[in-house]
Amino acid sequence: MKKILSTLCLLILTNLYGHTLIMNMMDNEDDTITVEGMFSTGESAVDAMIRIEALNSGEVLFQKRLPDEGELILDIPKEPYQVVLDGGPGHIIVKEGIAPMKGFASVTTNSKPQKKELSKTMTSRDSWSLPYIVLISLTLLLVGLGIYFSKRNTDKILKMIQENK
Amino acid sequence: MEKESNKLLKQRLQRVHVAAGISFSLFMYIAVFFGIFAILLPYIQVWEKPSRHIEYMDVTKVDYATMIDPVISDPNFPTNNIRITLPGYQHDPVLKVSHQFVEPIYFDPNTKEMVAHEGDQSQLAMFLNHMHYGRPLKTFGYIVFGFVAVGGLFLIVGGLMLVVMIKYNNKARKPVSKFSKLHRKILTWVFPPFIIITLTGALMNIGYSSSPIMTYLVSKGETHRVFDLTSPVLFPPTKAIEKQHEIASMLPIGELIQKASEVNPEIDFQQVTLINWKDKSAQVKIEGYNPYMPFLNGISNKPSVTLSAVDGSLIQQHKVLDKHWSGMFFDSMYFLHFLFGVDTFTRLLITTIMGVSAFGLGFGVLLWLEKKAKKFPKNVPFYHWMAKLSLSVMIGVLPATGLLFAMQWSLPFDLEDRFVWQSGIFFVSWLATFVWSLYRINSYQAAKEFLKLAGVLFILAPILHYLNSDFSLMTLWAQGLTQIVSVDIGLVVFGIILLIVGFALPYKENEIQKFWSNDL
Repeated sequence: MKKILSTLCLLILTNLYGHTLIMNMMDNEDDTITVEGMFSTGESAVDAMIRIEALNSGEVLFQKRLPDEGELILDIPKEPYQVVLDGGPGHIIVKEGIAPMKGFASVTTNSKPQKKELSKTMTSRDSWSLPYIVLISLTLLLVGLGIYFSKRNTDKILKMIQENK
Repeated sequence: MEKESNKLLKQRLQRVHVAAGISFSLFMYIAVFFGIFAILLPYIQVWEKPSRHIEYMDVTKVDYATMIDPVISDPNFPTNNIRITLPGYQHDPVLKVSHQFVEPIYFDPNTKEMVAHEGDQSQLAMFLNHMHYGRPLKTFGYIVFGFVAVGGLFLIVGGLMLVVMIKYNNKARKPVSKFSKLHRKILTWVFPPFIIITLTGALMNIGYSSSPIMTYLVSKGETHRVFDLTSPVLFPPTKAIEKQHEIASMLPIGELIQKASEVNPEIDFQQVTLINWKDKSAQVKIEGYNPYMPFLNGISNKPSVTLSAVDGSLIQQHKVLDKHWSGMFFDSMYFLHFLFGVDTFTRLLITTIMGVSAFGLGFGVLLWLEKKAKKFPKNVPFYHWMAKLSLSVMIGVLPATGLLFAMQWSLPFDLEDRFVWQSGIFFVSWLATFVWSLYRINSYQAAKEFLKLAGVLFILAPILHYLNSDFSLMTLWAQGLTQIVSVDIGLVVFGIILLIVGFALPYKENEIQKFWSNDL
């Protein structure tokens, strides 16, 4: 039985691949990077948006859609940055930018307060938000009540059966 | 000897049918119950959204340029393969401009203004559809519902064999005999559509995910992904058309649709793909559905007409029968499950058949429970976990779903996490019906309460719809939004039926016996 189950799991899991976006970033060692966008199937993500965002200010330093070649060669900014591959709602990939050969020019410790929000990789939502807390609490309460009523009524029925004998 | 072996076969077949039946029945019921709403999905998804309370417009009379041009002129908007979904597609009255990598934009074709699409805030129809195939439980749900479909196939075949092999007594008037008769009769009558829907359901839920070994063998070790083999045939990639980098003026989309209709008048056009738009090489691929060839098109096989957007000349035409036979076979299988492009009458017919099937499954469970109840003394109530679970799953789902509909128009559309609240309260209320089933010793009494509550909630849903939208029954009717009015009427009628059944159902032991002994 265990063998059958593990074979079934293996069968299903080996086929669980998605049509997900992948971003590759390569250092060209000449103060430029090559950013490539593609799907896990190998298909190029032409027309997906590539953005470079400054980590300190959240400012968009550069943005362009991927051309037909599926990759862009970009100058490395002088300040810390992140590269964003925006494939539309629910498909955002973010990677921290590669530093230039001589390092970032001025990494200020007292950086300005962030004005714009940085893009974040799309992950599952915060599962402990208010509705989840309320709904899970209600579920636990109902489970408790269910066990209580079940026991109470089962005892009643057992008593009736015994009396019947 | 032969007689003995025949008797043994019947006995074993019956036992395995009962064991598999009671194991799968509740899941099958869930799939069938929510499947009914999935059949009516196009109407519910229009009813649920304020942004869709707009009139339908003739696709050839829509002023596309006013709506589309500002969107595609945005330098940040993709320039190629922009999809325009025409008003009326899947009964949705809006015009949708979309691209793989951007959030879709919706327009009211009557006013040419952008509509405030509710997005994730309103997912009632999709949620009901997801419940149909176990999607809320993700991979686990797909696998469970997939195996339930396989179990369903086994039960249908085994059940039919039993009907042929065993001479059942149809004249007995005891509840057990009545449940047995109704279970057999109903499912014998509905088995042809039921078996097709179950088969295609099994294919979709676990057919693909369990195909790697067969794919690996068939491809002689080349791949284990089934889509690597099927995609080139079912969805062949379109060749990129080289841009000429010369700006050209485009013909109006309405005119191009008109031209496409002249090329192939049999197609109901649904989507337009803009290729190299505004360039001299620009093309439009206008695709749709050919209602004269049902079964053979609609999913992978989409008849299309490709025209030059500059002068409207015909570049390519794809007719239904141009597709590889495997594509037509694929579409016919899916057509039987999705009812793609069918009219309202057919949808209602299939809804009725599925509703009757749900009763068939219900009588099967009642039969099993009635046999269990016989083991208890007559003056001791039957209090069994399976009876309570079945009651909650099969009848308790009604008030929970009624609440889901009522919440659609009572929860504010700008409420944060609106869908989480709505779906969460649905699950909690469904669980609450299980607790109530355990609280009430008399299951019939609990069933009556669930039915009455469900009736009130289903009637309340359209009332809340009128109170919380800017529409009344009269304004909807006057504006020709009959589809939305029909959903309201359907909900009220369903609610009234539930109330009638709720009041008519007996709950005292002697009345129950009398009720099931009557001719139904």
